[in-house]
Amino acid sequence: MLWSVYSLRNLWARRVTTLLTLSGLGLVVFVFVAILMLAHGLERTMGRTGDPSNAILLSKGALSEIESSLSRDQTGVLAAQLDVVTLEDHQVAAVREIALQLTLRKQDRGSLASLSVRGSSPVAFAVRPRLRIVQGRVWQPGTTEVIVGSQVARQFPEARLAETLRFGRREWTVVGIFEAEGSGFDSEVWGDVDQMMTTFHRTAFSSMTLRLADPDGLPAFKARLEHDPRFKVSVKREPEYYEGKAEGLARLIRVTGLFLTVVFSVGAILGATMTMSASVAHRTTEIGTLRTLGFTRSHILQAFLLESILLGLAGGLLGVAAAALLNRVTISTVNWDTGAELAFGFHLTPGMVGEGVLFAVFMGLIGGLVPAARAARLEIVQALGERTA
Amino acid sequence: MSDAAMVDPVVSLHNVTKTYIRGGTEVSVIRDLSFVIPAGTFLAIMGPSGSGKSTLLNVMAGIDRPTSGSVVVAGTRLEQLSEGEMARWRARHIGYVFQTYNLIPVLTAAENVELPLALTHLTRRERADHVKTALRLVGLADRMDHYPRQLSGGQEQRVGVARAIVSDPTMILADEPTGNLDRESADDILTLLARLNRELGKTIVMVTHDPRAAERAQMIRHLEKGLLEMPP
Repeated sequence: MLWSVYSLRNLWARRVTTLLTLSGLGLVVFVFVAILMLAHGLERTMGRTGDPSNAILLSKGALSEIESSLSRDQTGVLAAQLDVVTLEDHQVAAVREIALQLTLRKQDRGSLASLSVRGSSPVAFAVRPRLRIVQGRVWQPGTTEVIVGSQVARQFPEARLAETLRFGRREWTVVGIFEAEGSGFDSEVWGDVDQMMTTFHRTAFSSMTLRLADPDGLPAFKARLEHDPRFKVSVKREPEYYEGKAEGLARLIRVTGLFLTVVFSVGAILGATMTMSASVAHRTTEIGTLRTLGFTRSHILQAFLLESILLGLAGGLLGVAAAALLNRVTISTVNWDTGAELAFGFHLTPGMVGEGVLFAVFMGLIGGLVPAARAARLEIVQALGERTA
Repeated sequence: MSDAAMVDPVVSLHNVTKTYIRGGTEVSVIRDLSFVIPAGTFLAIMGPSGSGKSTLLNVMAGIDRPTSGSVVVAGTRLEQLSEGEMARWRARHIGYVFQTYNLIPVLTAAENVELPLALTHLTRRERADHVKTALRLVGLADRMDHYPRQLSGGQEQRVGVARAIVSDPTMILADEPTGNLDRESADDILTLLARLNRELGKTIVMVTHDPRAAERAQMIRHLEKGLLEMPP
């Protein structure tokens, strides 16, 4: 109790130095947590894309929808599988789609941006029930009407309701805005699949997404289809497919971020070491006094370590608090796995708060180790000022 | 053995020598010193700078070890103690008063006095009671929550004395306790030490070069070039 008071007051007594050290430690924790938040936000966005009850079918060997090609005949047979849910209007819950990556010049800034376009059909809303139209309506089949995800509407002024998008040498009228719970679909433009195929001279679909009557039956369904020589398809659960598409980017964010964090942390640890060394030098007589009163070397070591741990703890809390301000801030970048513009947010979890604070405490501890050991090694008589007379 | 030693000696030194190596040469600070201090004595050790009186005090306090010889304080042979044992021994038996008070600047008067009690198993309430008693004894019951910078030199030294007696040690060692004080404050401190000796029976060893301070003790010994001048 008295020890903690002693350590805290000493930090407060040198508050300018303490604050500078705290800022250093806090900055590192801020970067560390922000990176974790970003990578997590990305994975969360991609992991939310799709529905766990759905299976996505791509042509065998294709890693993404862009590379995949499924013929009209093949998809007809595949959709007729008994595992697939039949909707109220006796339609099968299967949607055949084409996925396209377009480069669009943003009207406001004239910069080039990548846009994901999906040719689909209204049954997509039955296959993915978490999607909802928030403004306007769904496109009419057979027309050049499109709907846009909420992130697209936010980033492209020309993608607002009743505005016109130009791509594939045609004009597409935005008739609706949809929301997909912060998933990757929010960064897409959807329209009629037949219109898109005609416009882009496609004869095959990119993928087919099926809603399974029994989601747990997916492994068996997958095994059956993938081993059937009639089809050359690969089957994945829909969210797993989308999560996999962000792996590369998430890893890049983590690796770059952790590298930065490690480099920064060396500086912060040195800062803590310098602060604690100055503190030890300044308090040599005090150390001698405490030892004279009967405190052991181990007590002195503990007192200074406690002080540097408290320094780390405070720095950690500062950094985490600063990082928390980023929570839910959305950024948009190109997902290198797909080439598409993808919007995703920083997302803080309790685990990251713990990791950030622990990391800071660790830096404090490492930084305080050498000065604390030096303080503990002092001989009493020398510490008291070597008055041997 | 002298008569004094028969009366339960608190300190007994036998052939104690302390040498330092300075710049390659051996310097003797204490030379073959033997004496005893009976319990309940207020002893003043006098001597000029460099006479070895502080070193002698440090050896008795167990914060410095002699080069040779034996030191028995409060029934314990100090040379047999490990460093950790010595620290625990100091906490129990020694109250030390520094010339420069050496209060911890970030702690209040009460907290400074409480420090030695942090090494005991007393409860919080018991510690608070001890601190209050000690501060009352030195006349600073109304300065409990003051920080050292808010106190005068004399008051700081009285807090230092309170800290030295709070754990009820066997012996109080004071290194030039009035060296940094004005005459009046110095008198207060000396009166306080004399009272502690007289009323509580504390054994006190005070190192000083001030004859007026030494006069307040029951017994004065002169240390000259590491040798103790025997009483006439």
